Amino acid sequence: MNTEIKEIDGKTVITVAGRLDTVTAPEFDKTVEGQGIANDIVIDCADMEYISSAGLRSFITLLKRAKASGLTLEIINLRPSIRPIFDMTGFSSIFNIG
Amino acid sequence: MKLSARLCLYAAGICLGIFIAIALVMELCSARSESRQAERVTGLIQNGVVDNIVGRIKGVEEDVKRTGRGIMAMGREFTADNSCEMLVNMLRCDSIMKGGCIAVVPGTGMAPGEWMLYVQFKDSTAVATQLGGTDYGYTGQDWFSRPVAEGRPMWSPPYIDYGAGDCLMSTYTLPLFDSDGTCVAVVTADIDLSSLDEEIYALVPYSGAHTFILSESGEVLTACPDSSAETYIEAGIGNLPPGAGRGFRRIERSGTEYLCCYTPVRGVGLTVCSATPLASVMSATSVLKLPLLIILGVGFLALILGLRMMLTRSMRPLARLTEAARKAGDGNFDSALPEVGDNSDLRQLRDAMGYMQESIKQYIWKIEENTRESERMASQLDIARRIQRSMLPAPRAEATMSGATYGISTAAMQQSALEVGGDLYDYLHDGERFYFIIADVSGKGIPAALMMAYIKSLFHFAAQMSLDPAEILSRINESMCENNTSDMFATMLVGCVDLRNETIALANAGHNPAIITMPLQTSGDTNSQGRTSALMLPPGLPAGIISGMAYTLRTMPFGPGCRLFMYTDGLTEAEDSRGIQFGQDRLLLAVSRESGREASPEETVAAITAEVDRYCGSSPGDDITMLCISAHGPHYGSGSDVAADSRADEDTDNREWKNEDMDDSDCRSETLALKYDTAEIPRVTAYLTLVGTMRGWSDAMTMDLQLATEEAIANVTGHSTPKAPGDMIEVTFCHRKCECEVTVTDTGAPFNPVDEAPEVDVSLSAEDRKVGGLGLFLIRNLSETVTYRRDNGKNVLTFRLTDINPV
Repeated sequence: MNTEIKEIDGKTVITVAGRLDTVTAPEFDKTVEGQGIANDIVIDCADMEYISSAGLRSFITLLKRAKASGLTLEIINLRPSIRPIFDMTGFSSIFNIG
Repeated sequence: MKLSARLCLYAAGICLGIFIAIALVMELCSARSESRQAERVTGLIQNGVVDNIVGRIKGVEEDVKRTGRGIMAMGREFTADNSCEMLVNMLRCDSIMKGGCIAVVPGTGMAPGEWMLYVQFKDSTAVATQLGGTDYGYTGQDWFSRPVAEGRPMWSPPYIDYGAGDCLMSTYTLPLFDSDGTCVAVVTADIDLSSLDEEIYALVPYSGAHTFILSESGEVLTACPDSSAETYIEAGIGNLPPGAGRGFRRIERSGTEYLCCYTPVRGVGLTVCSATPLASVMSATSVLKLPLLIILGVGFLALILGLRMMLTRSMRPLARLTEAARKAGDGNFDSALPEVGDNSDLRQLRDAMGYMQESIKQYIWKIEENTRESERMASQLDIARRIQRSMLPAPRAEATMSGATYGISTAAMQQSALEVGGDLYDYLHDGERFYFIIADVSGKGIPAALMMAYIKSLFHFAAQMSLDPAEILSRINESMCENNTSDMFATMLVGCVDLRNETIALANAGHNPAIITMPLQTSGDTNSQGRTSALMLPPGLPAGIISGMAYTLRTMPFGPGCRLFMYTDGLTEAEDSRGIQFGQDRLLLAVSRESGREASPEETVAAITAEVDRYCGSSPGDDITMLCISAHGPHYGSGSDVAADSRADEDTDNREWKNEDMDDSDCRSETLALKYDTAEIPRVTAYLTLVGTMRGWSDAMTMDLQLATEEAIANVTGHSTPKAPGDMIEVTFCHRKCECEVTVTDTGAPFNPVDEAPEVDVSLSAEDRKVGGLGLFLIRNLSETVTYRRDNGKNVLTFRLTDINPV
């Protein structure tokens, strides 16, 4: 798993590549927590191959932080193979999936 | 090209260059000095000629002046008659004077009237003519008026006197003054310039030279030879500026270069000139050139020949040395090197070659020694290898108790990375029990092989005493520790199959886990498609490290259909070209596959050997040993009919199961033992990717399975702790073509995830969503069935996933 954070057009773009699972989610949390949230967040999942509940928890924690600051969080480029997990858990309706 | 020839060529080239340079410099210098010499000679000759001419002209001037003085002495007695005589006398002084005259200045009173008396020699007879008055107005003539007006004697410019035989003439006019200083008359003398020809003829400094006299205005007055005169005017000699002093000039005409020299004759306004073709000036040098060239050429040839001879003689020893080196190259190092005399360079070369010959002889001798030694070592190693081979029992063995149907069969394989290795397998059958050992001695080669032989004898000794495997291990450990000065140790697995009660007892000394296959119990009958898992034995230290170790004995049933696969780490650590190890999970899959197709131990060992060889692509770097033991009972090997019947029964019993699996009937089960640590999850993921590829599952199926299994393991590690510290989470995968059943067993506190897990409301908003419970929710939603049971103090969670879109 590889996480990269960049500021693009006034938005914080978090790129996740690889597997976001029980082993790697804490790593993701650590990377994201180190970042102060000042802008709207975009999570680019183009290279995310896999996500488990730990990864979903990381996402929802981040969403709650964003909402508390009055900001938005958008998930983009979600792979079709992963989409069913979001649908199944009701995350599709919680997140703004672009 | 030979070195001597090449040197000659170089030397010749350099000499030729130097010769040419010298010749060029000489040519240049001699040309300049020749030309200077010519100028000097020509100048000298011209000086002489000019002196002669000037002498004669001065003579004429003197004569005229004397006559003038005579006339003035007469005073008033001066008449035309007496002056005639004086003129004749004057003309007789020098034949160059062709005529002379006395002309009075009218109105001066010395002699009345306007008259002039002209005397001329015609055929040695003096002819006097008196002119004057209206018939010849001489006072207006230049020869008269200019000297009178200027009051000084003067030479007229040369002119042609048509009356006196077309001669080229010049007239000298001397004015005469009375005591008052008034010019009263003039005396003149006409000289024939052509009489100067003989002087000019003397001015021929070189053959082919032309000489001529130029007037003040640049006209050619007389020339020698005559015919060429005009051409010189054309060539620009005539453009000499009037009154120019001594000078030299080079002109070119019709491709011929001429050296011209001018000398002015003061007083009369003449210039003597000579033009000499340069070729004739230089002819002296040219004559010198040919012999010079011949001498140079001969010298040059002599130089090359001498050089060539000298070089060839100096190089002769080199050729002999070359021949000697060639002989040495053919292996003849004893051939004597040629003597080279005093040539110090070649002597050094010869000495160096001699030294080299000696050194090579020494090296060859040493290499031969080493080779002999290596051959001896190799042959000894070969003997050692054969002895070691003979120490291993036959790869195949069968053990049954007389009269009983239960028995075991084994197969083994060993290959060493070096000639001899440190791996060992052995067995001993004493009628009722079948002892076996697999061991891996640390290190490789001869020390490991010696230790292996030692362990084998210890095993035999202990097994013959009918001790249990733990005791045998302890004995081996003690003996190894007693005399272990080389810090060697060995991991090993010692076991014993009791043929009487169909059990197996095992003791482990730090060896890698064996893989065990237990048949699935179905309706009291055995099914060879069993459950394959890594056999986790209580760990123990490798033998040979600490004395006094007590090893734990584990006994378990080993009924028909059971099989145990043991191996040394060379198998799982075999690497492919990218450096990735074969690994335990891949081995587990392979053993499971072989068990599933009811392969005999021999076939299993052969199949796995082939698979590892394929995986590595080359010979493995470590010793590899495998030992496979399988138990067979009444329905095994007692007749194919019975086995076929048994399978036929299963078909009817589990029709639904089998129907689903018709095209790929083998159902296999593998168990991974995991620590209570989420870090083990990647291992499961990798394993499932492997199985998914093998089974042809869709990517979605593999991912769902990975997800559900991960959630189940994360649930156990997150919510429970093992009952005993060494406990493992056992995850068994029972997989078929489109289906996989996963059983997760842990020894933690009872927890029923099916009933007790919190419900997850997927319709809640982000703020209201709880973070927990998602994992179990996912397992329930991804699986077709989920069951939980508490069994023997363990939580057993089973879920099954089906591939709806298989590849």
